[in-house]
Order: sequence, then structure tokens, then C-alpha cells
Amino acid sequence: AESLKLGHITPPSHVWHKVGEHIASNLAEASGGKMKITVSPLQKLGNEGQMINLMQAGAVQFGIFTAAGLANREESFLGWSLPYAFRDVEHASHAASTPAAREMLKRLEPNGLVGLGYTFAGMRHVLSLEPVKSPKDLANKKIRAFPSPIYNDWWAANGAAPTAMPLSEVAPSLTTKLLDAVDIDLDALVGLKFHQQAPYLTLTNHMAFPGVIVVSKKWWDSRSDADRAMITKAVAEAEAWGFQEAIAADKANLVTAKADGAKVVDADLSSFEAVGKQIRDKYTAKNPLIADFYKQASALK
Amino acid sequence: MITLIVFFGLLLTGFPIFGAILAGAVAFMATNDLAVLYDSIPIQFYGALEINSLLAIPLFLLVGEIMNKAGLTQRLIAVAEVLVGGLKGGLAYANLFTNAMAASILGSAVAQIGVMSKVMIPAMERSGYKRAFSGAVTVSAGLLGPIIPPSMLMIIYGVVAVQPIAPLFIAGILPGVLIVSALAIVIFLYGVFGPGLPAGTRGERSASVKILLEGLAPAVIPLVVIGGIMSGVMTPTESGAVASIIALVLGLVYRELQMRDLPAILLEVGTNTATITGLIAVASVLSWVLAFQGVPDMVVEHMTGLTDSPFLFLLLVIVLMLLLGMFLESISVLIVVVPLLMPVVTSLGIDPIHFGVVCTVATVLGLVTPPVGPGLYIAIVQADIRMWPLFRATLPFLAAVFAVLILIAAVPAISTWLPALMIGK
Amino acid sequence: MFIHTIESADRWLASAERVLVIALTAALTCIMMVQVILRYFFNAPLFWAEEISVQMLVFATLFGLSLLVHHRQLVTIDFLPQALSPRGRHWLAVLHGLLFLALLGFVAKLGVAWITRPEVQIELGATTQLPRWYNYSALPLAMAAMSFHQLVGVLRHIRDLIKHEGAGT
Ligand code: NA
Ligand code: NA
Repeated sequence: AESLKLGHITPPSHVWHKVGEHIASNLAEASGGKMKITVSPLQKLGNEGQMINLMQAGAVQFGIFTAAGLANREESFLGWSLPYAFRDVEHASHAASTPAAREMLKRLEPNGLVGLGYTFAGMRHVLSLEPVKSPKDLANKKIRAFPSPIYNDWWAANGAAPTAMPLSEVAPSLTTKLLDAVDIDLDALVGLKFHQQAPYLTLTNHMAFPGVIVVSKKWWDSRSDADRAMITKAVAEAEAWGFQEAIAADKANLVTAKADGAKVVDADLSSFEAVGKQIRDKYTAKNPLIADFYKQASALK
Repeated sequence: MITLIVFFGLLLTGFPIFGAILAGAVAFMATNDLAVLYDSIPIQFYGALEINSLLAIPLFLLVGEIMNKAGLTQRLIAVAEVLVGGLKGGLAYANLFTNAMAASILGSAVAQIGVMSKVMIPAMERSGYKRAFSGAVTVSAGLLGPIIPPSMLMIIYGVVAVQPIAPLFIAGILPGVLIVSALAIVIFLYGVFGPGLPAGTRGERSASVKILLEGLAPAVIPLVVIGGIMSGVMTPTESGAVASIIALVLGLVYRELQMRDLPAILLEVGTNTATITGLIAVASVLSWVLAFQGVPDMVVEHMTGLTDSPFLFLLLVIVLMLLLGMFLESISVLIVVVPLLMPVVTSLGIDPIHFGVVCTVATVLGLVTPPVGPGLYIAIVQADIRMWPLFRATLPFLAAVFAVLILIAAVPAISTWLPALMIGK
Repeated sequence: MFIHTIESADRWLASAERVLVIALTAALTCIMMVQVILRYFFNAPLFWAEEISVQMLVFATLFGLSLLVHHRQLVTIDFLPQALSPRGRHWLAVLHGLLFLALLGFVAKLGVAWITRPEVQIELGATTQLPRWYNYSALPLAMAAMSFHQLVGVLRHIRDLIKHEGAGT
């Protein structure tokens, strides 16, 4: 049997890991046990930058990358982080099959990666030490956000100070008020129980958070056509399964978070949405594919 | 296999540990058909150093350096003498007590043993204690350095095991108190059943009050460090920064420290930091390449096949760390072994904070077991003692620390109760 | 003559590293102290403090390691080599020295390859928005400095060995 590797950065409880396992079992079955994938969570194979190098060299064959991180290599992936482009996870997963979203996957090839599909985490919200009802409540507050230019622009435009920090340091930083808030999805919130430090949850619903399923181009090019068709099919099935899983998880996680003591704040989202429009305008003007993607995703509403 | 030969072969023939770990990682890549991973060595090396928690290391090293240069240690000793010096064997208890106070300022056992043995061993000898016994008390009480917060070992564990530092610091408090008690009992038994202890001396009451008041100032440092972290007001790194400010101000006020001493102090802090963080960087390259080849999964399989009892697993870890700690430098052992064992810790449901305390105390014991025992060496050099008499005299104390270690392994609450109470972790 | 020139270059490099390590340690300590004061007394933390301090710590580590190589102060376990004759120890030192030199040179070369990769060249710092490879180049630089210190160390041992042989015959 051929021994293959799939790496990603999330913990084993995350939807992405389950999607990875799903791809592994689909492919084991389809190949009659000839292709055996080991899924490595928590960046055990390396961080995303390292994993891309390893995939370019063919040492790692499969990966699930954050779209926001891949935007460092292919700018159009920033389209997925446009504020208020998606109603919910279901809407975002529909957007995954738009021509623009598929075009983004194609554009990964110069990076030595073949993009095969998407998988989602929950929508992003704000968890904070003090109730956040509008951007005013975040003025000059430190908020932990994904390290990416669009996240930085978005939080800066809301008057907050975006801060990059590993997840393991978030809980102690909230305790010591080194951080005032976290930009977070409910999956991570429920898993890491940050509401024990910062109880107030504002369902800003400002962005989606997709992962991109990729294959090493070097390895892909060395496969037969039949193998490629088999892999494409195995990934497509896991992708569809992952969409449903993420939609269900986002709903269930909200129930769990509330039951576990997270206090949902009654907030005025229109002011956040107004800020969101500025950021969307800036990024759609920057890159035509991002503009196409926003148009196509909006048409699905 | 070749990796192990390269690693141990180089290590035991006196190759720098930093280089041996790096060479081991390269040998592993070369012999497992993983040459494609070479390109990632610099990323892994650099990335391992970009960790906020590591900032606490130079800050706490600085506190220690300033404290030594500024004569704060002498003030602590004077306070301890006033408090317990009057008892039979008073100076031995005072030594223990001073070490406990110093441990709440210093983060490293070797540094603490270095400072204390220079002062305490001659002082005890003058008062009629045997030199080996004086050394034994000093060396074993110095082990408190990384157990009572702040602690370099806990920071290192937190970084390699990806755990927050604050709960680890707090988790060391109760074990520290237990070890102080255990060591005090050994001193007491030595007085009753052993060769006996000299009588204590009590000073003038008026002099005592003055000494206690003078000692209050350095006592502000542990209050800030432990109090700040326990109340959740400060991160460990920030408490290190505040402690440095206080130590610096005290040193300048007491006029035992001058601004022109600072460059030498900073150089010492910088190179001592590099010694620790350099090991963390190369060990991260090694851990990563081992993880890439699925070695931790194999460890999990073997370990869980051996036992599914958390306590038995912890006993195995303790034995492993003590054995490795005899022949290797025990801090490097901690850095290399912990990432391999973390998956087992998770699968057996052991609290990573509890595991951190067990590993820290086991590592600390390795610092004073021959033949490779930097804690013994430094006392030997500072107080002109010979290795074997010192080690023999230390044995009853080490046995007491070992007994506490077993207790800590058996009762997770000793480590986890206080952090849960204070900061809900 | 040649060995004198490179020995003085070696000393010069070490003094430069010493100044750098002192400055970096001082700077990161000051930044953390100022950060605490601004945060608690003025409620106005520096947003870049942690990111910059961590980079300073990386540099201090790299050039601190280089100083440790220069002074032969890297931690070793030396109870077995202690048992060798002085001549045996010199031979072992040359052997180890060459191996360590090869290792450091190898990492330096990998470091250069790393920072010149196109995708690394365009990577920007999260809050500073400066190219990351400026910082990354500290790694190959420090590794090259360590290699140089190591080379000088090996040459010194070889010279001692030659002298030793000469004295023997
Ligand atoms: Na301590
Ligand atoms: Na030892």
C-alpha cells in the first residue's frame, strides 16, 4: 500500500480533521486499500508555510489549508474573508461551487498545489470581556484575530487593535486582560471554553472561515488519469459531507455555548455591516477575481 | 537507530548538546529517506523561537542576576536567621527557609545552588556543621528554585508542551511547600537519630526588628510575582518585567549595584538565555522530524500497550527521566522527551498541568544525580567539597524529594487544585 | 601571519556580537517594562510590543549562540573526554570541530536558500507589515558567524597539534 500524508492545523475534534479522515476512508475503499492516508492534526507536519514547501516537494501529498493563509500565495482567496459576504455557513458552502471559487483553486497551480475543494468552520463572531454592542465598544481594544491583512483592516476600521497570538495563549491573555476580545468561531469557542474567561458573545457573524483541500501537484502529476478521477471523487464526497457537518455543528455549537454560560449580547449589527461595506469595496476594487466572487456569492442570497 | 548512535555517540564524547541534537535530526532525515525535509530546518528552528512565553526567560534571569549582584540574598539569609535561627539546628532550617524565599524570586536550581552554596556552606561550617551536610542541605533546598514560581523549567515545559505558563507556575506552589516540609523533616530526623545538630543562636531583639524591616523590601518581589500571577493581574512575562524593575531599583538604592555593572549583567542574561532557547530551537527540529515519521504515535502505541493506568505511566516517566537525567543534561532531556510523550498524556487523560509538575520535579532531581549533575558540580566548585561525600550526604534529602514526587504523581490534586481555584484552569 | 589576521577578525566579530546581544537584551527588557507601565497606569498598551520583543529574543538567541560557540561555552557532557590524554583531546576536538563546522555551514546554506525563496521574499509581518525575510536573514547570518568562530577554533587546535608533534620529535 502507498503510505500518504494529510496535514492540517486544527485539533482532532474539528470538522476539518473529520473531513480529512473521510477523505482517507473514501480513498482506502476506492483504491482497495492501496492508498493509505495518515491524517496529522495540529500542524504536526509543520505550519502552513512549511506544509506548502513539503507539498511542493511531494513529501506531503494532501493538505487542508486556511483560505486566509493561502491568500499570502494567491490573493483572490481574500474574497472568502470579505465581511458580510455570507449569511451563514450554508450560504458560504453554496458559494464554494461558484465559478470564481473554482477559479481560485485553479490559480494554486503555480504554487505546486492542486486545489480540489473546500471545507468550512463556523461563522466568525466576537467574544469579549465587556459586552460589545457596536464598534464603539471595541474602540482601542485589543482583539485577537487571524494574522491577515483583511482581518487587520477590518478590525482597524472598527477602531479596534488586531493582535496576532497563538490560540494557546488566548485564555491566559484574557484572564490578565492583555486581550479584550477574540475574533472566533463557535467551534473553537466551545472546544477551548474561552467564555470562562470572556463571557460576552456578540454574534457579529462577520466572516466565513473556509479551509481549502489541496493535493501536491508533483504527486498528482505522477498519478494515472484513473487515479486522479478516483481521488477527485473521494474528495468531492468528503467535501459535500463536510458542508453538512459544518452547518449542523455551527447550530449545535451555539446551543452548547449558551448552555455552558456564554452570554449572548443584543447588538446593533448595522454599524458593523456599514464598516464591512468599506472593507468589501476596498478588496473588490483590488482584485477582479475577488469582485467576481463577491458578485456570484451575493447572487446566491 | 543510526540517529540514536549519532546522538549518544556525539553527546558522550563531549560534542555540544546543541550540535548533537541538530546532528541527530539531520541523521534521522538522511537515514529515513527524508532529505526533502532539510529545507524546512531553518523555518522550524526560527519558528520555535517566535514564542511569546519565551520572553519570560531573559526577564527572570535578569531578576536573578541583579539579585545576586545587589546583595539581596544576604538580606534574605538574615531574615531567615531571625525567624528560625534560634532552634536546634537553626542554621540548617534557616538555609532551607532562605532557599524557599529565594526560590520565589529565582527560576533556576543551578543558579540558586550557585549563589547559596557560596554563602551558606561556609556559614554553616563556621557554626559547627559538617561541610558535606551543609552542602547537602544547600543543594537539596536549591532544588526548590524551579518548583516554587517563577520557574525556567515550567516555562520550558509550557513552550514544548504548548501549555499556558500561569497555571503551571501556580501548580508548583503546593509541591514546593511539601518539599520544604519533607526537607525540614529530614533535618529534624538527622538531629534526633543522626550525628546531631549544633544549637541555634538568637540575636538581639532590636537588631532583629531592623533586619526584618530591611528584608521586607526584597520580599516585595515574590509578592508581585506570585500574587500578580495568582490574582490574574499579570502574565508571567509581565511579572518578570515588574520583578526586574523592582530588583534594579532595590539594587541601586542599596548602592550595591551601579549602572556600569549593567552591560556585564545583560551579556550574562543574553548568553544564558541563548543556552536555553538554542536547545529549544534544535529540539523542535528533532521533535518535528520525529513527528513527521510518526514516532510519537509509535510511542503512544507502546506506552498504552504497557499500561493504561495514568499513575503507572507517570512512574515510568519518572524512572525514564531519572535514568536519562543521570547521564544527560536533564533540561535537554525534558525538551526532547516531553513532545514525544504529550500524545500519551492526552490519550490517558492526564492533566497536562499535573504532568508538567511531575516532569519538572523529575528534571530537577536529574540536576543533582551524578555523573552528570550540574547542581552538584556548582556546589563542589563554590564550596570546595568532594563529589562522593557530598552526594552521600545529599541522598536522604533526595529520597525525601523523590517520595514527594511519587506523592505528586499519585495525587493530581496537589498540582491542579490551586490553579483551578485561582484562575479556573 | 594568516592565523593572526583571522584570529583578530574572530575577536572583532565576537565584540560586535557582544554589543548586539547586550543591546537586544536591554531593548527587549525595556520594551516589556514600558509595556507593563503603559498598560497598567495609562491603559494604552503598545500594540507592537510583543511582536518586536519576540523578534529581538530570536536575534539575541542566534547571536548569543554564536558567542557561546566563540567562547566554547555551549553545554557539553565532558566526563568521558576528561579521561583522554591531552593529545587525544586535541584530536577529538579537531574531529568534533570539523563535524560541527560542517553542520553549521549546512544550516547556514539552508538558511540562505530559505530567505531567497520567492514566497518568503513577499511574506510580510502581521503588525509591522515589513518583509519578514529581513528578520529571517538573522538565521543564516548568525550561522555563518558561528561557522567562522568554529573554523578559527579548529585551526587553533590544529596549530596546537602541530606544535605538540614538533615538540615530540
Ligand atoms: Na522559583
Ligand atoms: Na544528573
